[in-house]
Amino acid sequence: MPPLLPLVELEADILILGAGGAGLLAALHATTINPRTKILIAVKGLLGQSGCTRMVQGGYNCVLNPNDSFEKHFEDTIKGGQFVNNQDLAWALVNDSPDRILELENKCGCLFDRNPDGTIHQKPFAGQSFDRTVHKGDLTGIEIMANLRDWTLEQENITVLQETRGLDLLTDTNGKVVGALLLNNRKGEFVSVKAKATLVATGGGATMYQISSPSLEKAGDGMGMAFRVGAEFIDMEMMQFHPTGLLVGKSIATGGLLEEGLRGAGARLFNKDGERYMERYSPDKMERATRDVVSRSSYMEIMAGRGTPSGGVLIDATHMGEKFLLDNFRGMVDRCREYGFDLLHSRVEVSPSAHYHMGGIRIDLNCKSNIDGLFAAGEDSGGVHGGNRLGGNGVADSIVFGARAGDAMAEYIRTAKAPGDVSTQARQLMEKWLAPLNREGGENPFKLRDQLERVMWRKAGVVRNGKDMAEAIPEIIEIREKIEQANGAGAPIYNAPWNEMINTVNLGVCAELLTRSAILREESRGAHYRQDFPEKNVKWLKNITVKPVNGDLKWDTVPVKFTRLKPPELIEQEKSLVH
Amino acid sequence: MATYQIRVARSGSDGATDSFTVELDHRMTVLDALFLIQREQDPTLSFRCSCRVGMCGTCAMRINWQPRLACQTRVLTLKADTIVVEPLAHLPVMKDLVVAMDPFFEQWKRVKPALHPDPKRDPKKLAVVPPTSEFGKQAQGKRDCITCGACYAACGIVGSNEEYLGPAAINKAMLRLMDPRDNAVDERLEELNDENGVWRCHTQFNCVAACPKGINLTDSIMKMKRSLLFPKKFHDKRNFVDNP
Repeated sequence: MPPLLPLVELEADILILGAGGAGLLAALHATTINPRTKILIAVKGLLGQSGCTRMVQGGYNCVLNPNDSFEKHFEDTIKGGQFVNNQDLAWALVNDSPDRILELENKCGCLFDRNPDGTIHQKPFAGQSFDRTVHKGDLTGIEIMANLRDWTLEQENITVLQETRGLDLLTDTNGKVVGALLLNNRKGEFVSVKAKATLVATGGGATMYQISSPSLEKAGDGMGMAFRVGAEFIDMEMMQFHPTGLLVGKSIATGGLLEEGLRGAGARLFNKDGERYMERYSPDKMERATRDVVSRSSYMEIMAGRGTPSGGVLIDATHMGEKFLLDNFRGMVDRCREYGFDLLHSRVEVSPSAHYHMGGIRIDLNCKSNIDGLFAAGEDSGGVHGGNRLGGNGVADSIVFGARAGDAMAEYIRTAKAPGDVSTQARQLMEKWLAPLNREGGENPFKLRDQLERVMWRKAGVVRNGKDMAEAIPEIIEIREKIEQANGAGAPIYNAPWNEMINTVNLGVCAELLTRSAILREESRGAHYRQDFPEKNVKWLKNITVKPVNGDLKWDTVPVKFTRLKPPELIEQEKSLVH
Repeated sequence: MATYQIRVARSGSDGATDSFTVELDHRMTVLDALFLIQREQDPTLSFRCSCRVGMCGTCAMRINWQPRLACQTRVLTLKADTIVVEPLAHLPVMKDLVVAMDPFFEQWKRVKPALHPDPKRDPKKLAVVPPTSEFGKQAQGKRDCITCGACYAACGIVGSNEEYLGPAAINKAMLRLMDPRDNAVDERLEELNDENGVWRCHTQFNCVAACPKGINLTDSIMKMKRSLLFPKKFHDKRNFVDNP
């Protein structure tokens, strides 16, 4: 007789899946609007200590200096994104960002680094026309998440289920999202939550790649769940690779980042022959070029046989001097030292590392998806960053759009009806997820996850081509089929194989959408680089969207609306038409 | 590559440890060893880890009898062929190396860890905090706490008195108390002055030795003792900054 785990049934006004910057800002804003809003937060790890906002190094972009402007930040963001950003979302990011910094400091108690005169310090970051990155040393995320956690701990309207992950969204007969089925790994029990509004803010799927930077529990859960209830996605081909992931051999630390500010401050990149190879790829900006350019350059050096024996390139910060590095990049110096590298006195081996998914659930300015009752924010959503995200815009995105989701959900629940009974549906879904726990034999989920990561790295990674990606599709489909038959047997609490199975199910969804989308985009733009279409094509000033319809994928291409800024190539075209 | 014996404390049967043999290179950590064991030898092994690069603070455990972060402990540096890995002390074990952090956070909550903004301040202006001011100085090295629980597990007083606030919570209280933006001064001072507050500390420095972020927790505790003894000096120091 298979173990039958308990099902705990709960209710809330707002259900938030994920407790990074986006999830907790949503809670903060909904609570501010109505302190009696009953909010339930499910977090896969420990509150405030898991996820990727916690791992933010460099900082948070916002316009605070009178010599800077929203227009400049916006233009940097759009140029960085290669003009396929949703301009209304990007404008909201830029506009809301300073207010959220005030809120993080004055309401939540964060203290970002100061100048000698006590005013806030802003540092330079790649791809930006002004030094606008607010930070706390080179480990900014800890300051943000620790303070948001402390705020959350004192709220009486908020219940937090820690080490509890979302499995599937619950829907009513009209397809409206009315909550979610969760797995509480700490107690070994299922939880069904009925809610008037549900936010997915669980983070992206960069962990589908062999070398990646995010925290280990991240697995595109929100996107996987949203896909299964029919959500629409955008820009799924756009996956950012950070140029400087540490190479630590077989250690799990491989892929962990050396922060962008190092390059911002002047660190140099060399190949194994000692050439400063960025001279070949971006002679003007050199190492301060945007992440897509630097990652691709490094990858090409490595592929051309000019990489180190373990397949990397070398970052050199030694010329900046011990004192400067210790004062400004203490965290990075320590991080290198932990693994036996000396950033102060020698070059350190790095590789591009899958970092951030620009694509995601398609949202409007209020973080609403195409599915009634379902909201998305942070890395789960797409459109803000277009083809490439600027360093420092990621945490700003989570904070800004988390807050917007909180405001929008507070408004939405004022008129939303209480959901009806969901226990039948919850029990059916529960049986589906229980199957691997009770399975004898079956596939090894760890091996399937490895297999997926290798396929994606080799065939749909930093440099892509149509042939490789076409080959990758059947491999991804096979992994997606096999993972359904994986063995997750063991105890119901803290069961690693069972959780890895669920992770791989969700990453498989993201991987297939990413690869199919990348096959469609026959050009190179931002993080998406095609060897067989190496140029940018003006015809591709479009976004690729996709949603599941009756078991099939419905693809579409939508022209970008240039509501504020037109790309130079279009302006050129129009000029030539006039003459 | 070198061969190590990893002896891991297991929950289930009292005091049981399981021994595993793993091959590790000179850059690999205790966390790497645990992942290898879980993936290749015993998938039922449980431990926590999110970031794996010293930021999340969830992989603290006793490694050769010292509380440390597994991800920041290269096996080579332990200078031992056998490595004993156990859950943190002073916290209930949930499974294998996973402990309940509840006692730690119950104390943490006692000091009101959230900012209680002073309503007299303009929320649209950022506080001016020169790094040379008292709050600037304290914040510099002491707001790096990752709530890993290593100090709590190392503290001898916590071991004999579970009502004691513990080093991390007192450090947090110190930071909020020195913060000119905060308004909950009296409530926090009252908690610190409680019989299970700062006066329990015997200045043994075990917390300082254990902190993976190098925070001088004992210094924070001493500062708070002095603040309670000399409240005028404390308030003078606190009122250094305005909100122009």
